[in-house]
Amino acid sequence: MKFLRFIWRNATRNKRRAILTVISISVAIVTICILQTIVVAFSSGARASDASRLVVRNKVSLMLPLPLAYQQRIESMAGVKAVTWWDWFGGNYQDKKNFFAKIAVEAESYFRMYPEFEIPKDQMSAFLADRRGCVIGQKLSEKFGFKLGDTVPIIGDIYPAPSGDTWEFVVKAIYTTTKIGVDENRMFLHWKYLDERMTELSRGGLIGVYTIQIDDPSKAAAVAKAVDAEFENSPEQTLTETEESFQMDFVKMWGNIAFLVRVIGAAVVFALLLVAANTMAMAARERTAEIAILKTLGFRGALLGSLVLAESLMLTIVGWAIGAGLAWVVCLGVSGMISRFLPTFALTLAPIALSLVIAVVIGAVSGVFPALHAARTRIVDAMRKVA
Amino acid sequence: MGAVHIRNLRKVYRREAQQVPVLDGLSIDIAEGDFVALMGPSGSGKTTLLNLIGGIDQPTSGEVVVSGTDIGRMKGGKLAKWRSRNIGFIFQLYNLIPVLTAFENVELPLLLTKLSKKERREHVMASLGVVGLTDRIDHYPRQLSGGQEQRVAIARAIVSDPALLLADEPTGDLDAKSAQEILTLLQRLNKEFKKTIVMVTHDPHAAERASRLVHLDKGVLEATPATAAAAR
Repeated sequence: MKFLRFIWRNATRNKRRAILTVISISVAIVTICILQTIVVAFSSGARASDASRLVVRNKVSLMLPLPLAYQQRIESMAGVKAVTWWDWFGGNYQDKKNFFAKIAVEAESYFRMYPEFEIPKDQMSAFLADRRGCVIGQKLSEKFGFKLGDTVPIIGDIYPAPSGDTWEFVVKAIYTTTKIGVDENRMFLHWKYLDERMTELSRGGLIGVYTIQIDDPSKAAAVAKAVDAEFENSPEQTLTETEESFQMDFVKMWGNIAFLVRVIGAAVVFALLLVAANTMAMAARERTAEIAILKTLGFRGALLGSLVLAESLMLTIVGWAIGAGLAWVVCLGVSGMISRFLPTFALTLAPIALSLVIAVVIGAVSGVFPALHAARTRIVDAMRKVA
Repeated sequence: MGAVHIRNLRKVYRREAQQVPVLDGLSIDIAEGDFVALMGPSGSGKTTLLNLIGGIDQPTSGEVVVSGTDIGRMKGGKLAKWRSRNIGFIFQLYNLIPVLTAFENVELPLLLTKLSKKERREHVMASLGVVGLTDRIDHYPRQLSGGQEQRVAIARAIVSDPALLLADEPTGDLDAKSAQEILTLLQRLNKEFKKTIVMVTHDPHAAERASRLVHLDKGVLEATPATAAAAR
C-alpha cells in the first residue's frame, strides 16, 4: 500500500497520454460490455429453457400448424410426463411499434409446465375462469400502464377478430419471474378462445407448437426421435428438439450473432492491447534513468518490475471502472429503445466480469515487457545514458 | 563504520572485441570519518571507482571491503539491500523523481524499510532539517532551484543514516554560491555527523574542502597531498 501513491504518480505523470489511454480502454470496455450484453439478450430464451422440455413443431416450417389430435398420441408415449400447446397469436396493440409477444396457450397445462411465470393464485383462478382473460408480464404492465381488469384491444393480423378488426382481452393476471432470461413483456391468452373463433372459420383444431415435459432429461434425444417417428407417415410430420435448441433457432435467424460479436470483440481487445502496450513501453523507456536511480537507492529489480506492472494494471483497471460505469448508463438508456427486439437487454454481472478479466489480462500483458526491462536494467548502463 | 579498504582492484570494460582497462591494480584505504576528494582527468576511472565502492558495479578482480563487508562478492538483491543500508548516493544532476515532492523523494529509501508512516515522517523531516529545507517539503523538483534540488538529494542520501556518502560531482551543475553551500553542507555532515565521504570532482576549490585528496590517472593512483581543509 505504501507504494500506491508512487504507482499512481508514475501512471499519471504524462497526463495527456494517461487520459488518452484510459479513454481508449474505457471505450473498448463499453464496446465489449454492450456486445456481450447483445449476445446474452439474443440467447436469453435459450438460457431460460428447461432441459426437461421438448418442443414439437411442424417439420416443414414453424409457420405451419400441427393438428390438436397429436396431443393424446404424444401424451401416451413412453417418457412423456405432460403435454401442452401454444400458438403465436401475432396482432398489434394500437400500432405496430408497440410490439410485444402475444401467445395463445392451453392455460392450465401451460402454466403448470412453466412455473417460472409466477402468478398469484387468485389471479390465476380469475384468468382460468374467463376465456377472454389474459396474463401479462409485470414490465408490460408498467410499460403501457395495464392494470388488472383493463381491456386490452389487439388488432388481429394472423387471426381475424370475432367482430370488426379488434380482439379484446381483459387483464386477469400479472406475472413476475425470478428466473434470469425470462421476459416479462409477454401477453398470454386462452388458446381455447382463439380456437372457438377459428372453428367458426372452419380452421379449428390446429395448434402452433407442442411442448412436452419428459421424465428424464438424459433421454431427450430418444423421446424426440420417438415422437418424430410416431408422425413420420402422418400428413403433418413433426420436428422435435430441446427447448434450448428451439430457442437457438430464433437466434440463428439473425445470423451468427455470437461469432460476429466475438470477431468484433477480439479486434477491440487487440487494438486495446496495442494502445496499452505502447503506453507502457513509452513510459518505461522514458524512465530508464529513474529506474537506475531507484536501484541505486536499493530498490530490487523484482520490486521495480512489480511497480511497473502495477502501473499498467492501474491504468487498465481505472479504464475498466469508467468503461463499466459508462456501459451501465448506455445499456440503461438503450434498453427502452430496443426492447421491441431484445426485451431482456440489460447489462448483467457476466459482461462486467468478463470485461474486468480482459482489462486485467491486457494490463498484465502490456506491462510484462516494460516490467522485465525495469527489472533487468543495469545501473551502470542506465547511468551512462543519464550522463 | 564507513571505512573502505581496496586491494588490487581491476576493472576492465569490454567494448565489442576490445578490452578497456579502467582501473589497474588500485589499492587504497579510506578511514572511517574521512572526507576524500577524488580528482583526475576524464576517463581516469573516478566514477568507476565510486561505483565499485557503492556496489553498483562489479570489479573484474580485486577486493572492495566497505564497512567490513567484501561487496565484490555480493550480488543481486543482497547487494541492493546492503546498498540501501550502508551507502548514500549524491549525483551531479540530483536525479530526483520529478513526480514526487521533496518529502516523497527523501522518503523513497525508507519505503524499503519496515518503518511505520509516522517513523518515516520523523526521519524525513530530520533529514530535511539538516539540509535546511523543511519549508519546501511539498515542492516538486521543478519548483526548486538547483541548489535546493541538490540539498533534497543529500537529504535523501542521509535519510537512512548510512555511514558512507558517495558524491559524484555534487557541485558540477551548480552556480558558485550554491556550490559553496553544498560543500559546506558536506563538510558539516563529515564533521558533525561523522559521515565518511568520497567525492568525485573536477573542481580544485571543491577538492580543497575535503580532508584528503586522491588523484587518479589512467586507473592508477598518484601522490595524495594533504588539503587545506586537512591542515585546518
